[in-house]
Amino acid sequence: MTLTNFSSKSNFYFKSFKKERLMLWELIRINSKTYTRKLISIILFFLLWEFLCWIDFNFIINFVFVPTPVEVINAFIQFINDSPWVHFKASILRVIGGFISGSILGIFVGLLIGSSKVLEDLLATPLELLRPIPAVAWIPLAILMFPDAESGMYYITFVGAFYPILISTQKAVENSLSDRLMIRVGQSLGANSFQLFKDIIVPSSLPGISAGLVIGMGNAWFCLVTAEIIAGRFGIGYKTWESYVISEYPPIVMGMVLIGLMGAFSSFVVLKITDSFMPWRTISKDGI
Amino acid sequence: MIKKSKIQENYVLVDNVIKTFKTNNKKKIILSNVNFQISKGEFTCILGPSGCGKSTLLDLLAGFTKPDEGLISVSDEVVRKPGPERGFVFQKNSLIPWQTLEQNVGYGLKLQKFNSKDIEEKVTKYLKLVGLEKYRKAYPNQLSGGMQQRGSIIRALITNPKIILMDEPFGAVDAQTRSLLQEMLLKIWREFETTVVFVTHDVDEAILLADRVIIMGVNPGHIREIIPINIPRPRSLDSSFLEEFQKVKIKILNLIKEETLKLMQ
Repeated sequence: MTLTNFSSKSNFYFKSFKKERLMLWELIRINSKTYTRKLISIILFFLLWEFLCWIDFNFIINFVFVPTPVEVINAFIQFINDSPWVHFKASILRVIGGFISGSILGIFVGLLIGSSKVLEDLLATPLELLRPIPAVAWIPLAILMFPDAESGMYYITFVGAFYPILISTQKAVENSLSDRLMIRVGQSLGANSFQLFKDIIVPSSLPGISAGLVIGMGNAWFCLVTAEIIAGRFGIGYKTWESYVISEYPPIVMGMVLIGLMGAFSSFVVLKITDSFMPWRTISKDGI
Repeated sequence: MIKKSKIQENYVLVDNVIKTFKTNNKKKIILSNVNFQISKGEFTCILGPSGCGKSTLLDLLAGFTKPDEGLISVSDEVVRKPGPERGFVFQKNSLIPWQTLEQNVGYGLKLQKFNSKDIEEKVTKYLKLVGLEKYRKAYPNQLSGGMQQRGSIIRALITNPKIILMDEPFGAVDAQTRSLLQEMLLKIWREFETTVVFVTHDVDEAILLADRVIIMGVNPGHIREIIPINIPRPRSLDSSFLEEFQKVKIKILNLIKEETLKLMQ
């Protein structure tokens, strides 16, 4: 009886073992087409940019004052030779500080208002009123409300990270609560409300929470330039803003690219970490 | 209470149960005056056309919903809420996706604060019973439909419940797997001497498995007839060639046809 009903699904279990045995070069060979295509797209992007600057393109969009990729690279080399670490450190700390506090509070409050009608009624409205306020609009209050500029900057990256995490946690929990089957499974096995929450509601909300964390991490970088307008003498965002004030264009673009790169990288890290909490998912996007 | 003696006399008692649902502010009666008793160790199938309230009745037995009137008791206890003393096997996809097969099977024991060594031992024993010990570390979406159902049967069984309630558990698996699962279920039932209530819409399945088949009628849901099945045990697929089997089958099919026609008028 044991081996009678293997379907294609059960074979998948073995396939996943096979995959681990693939050699690195095999993986590279399999993925090389994708890598090549990605590389070509990046090269074309920079060539197009260089080209538009070179011909002083000026139709609706004006490229006359836009620095070329080569100028940006030169600005970067200059920046690297000029003790860049203080800037990186300042920015990374601000983003991580805002992101972690935003995650903790966002997930906590999201779980509460997602699972309790009373708490939703009590908390959701004021939070919803504050949500559409852009980070820039917080600058004056952040300066007035916080003891020093540094904590004001943490607050602004926090605002950026907090809301997407809050909303996606709340919606994920509500979605989990609508899945009566899993709740019934838990109940019929003897789970009490707390155990249902811990073993059923929270794990089934993880994919949604993970999406919120990835967006929240991106938003924290988003708000970094805004935060570093407040004050300070260090930070990638500060460097970008300062270059604008003194009309030095290549470092502006360099700052933008750096923020983009670090934002993308840290979102990727968050995605990988949260995925490792959800080993049960098998995602196949080929041939839906 | 007047009913106390009645509760003690019957292992499973469903007494004058009425269940209504509200739709568009109108009360619709789903079950009216349902009465039956089941004795310990009996295998009962509930059969009826779709919409006769057979799943609703099973939900009531499990305690997922409460009757508007009447009383349900299992083994001297009035059913008030779901719990591990009444194991439930759902139609499909009911293994918890983020738990491995062994975690799923052992989850009921974990909730009852068994120590992990006992859980491990018991889980291994039950996995072997249904031939799934090789797949203990697999997640549910790596298992076939039939394997998932076997897992969910032993998950309901492992907490040693007073009764097992099954809601069309083989309805979603293919015919070959289904007959294997039916024989496996009969084997388990003989070995554990459990009481089973099994909802199905498959007449052959009901006759093959049951000691008694409860036929439900429609408009509103009620018990049409209770038919004892006297085919000797142990039964297998071959039992369906017996004359007794064919006779009972025709009788049941006619009853269900009558009820289905009522739905169409």
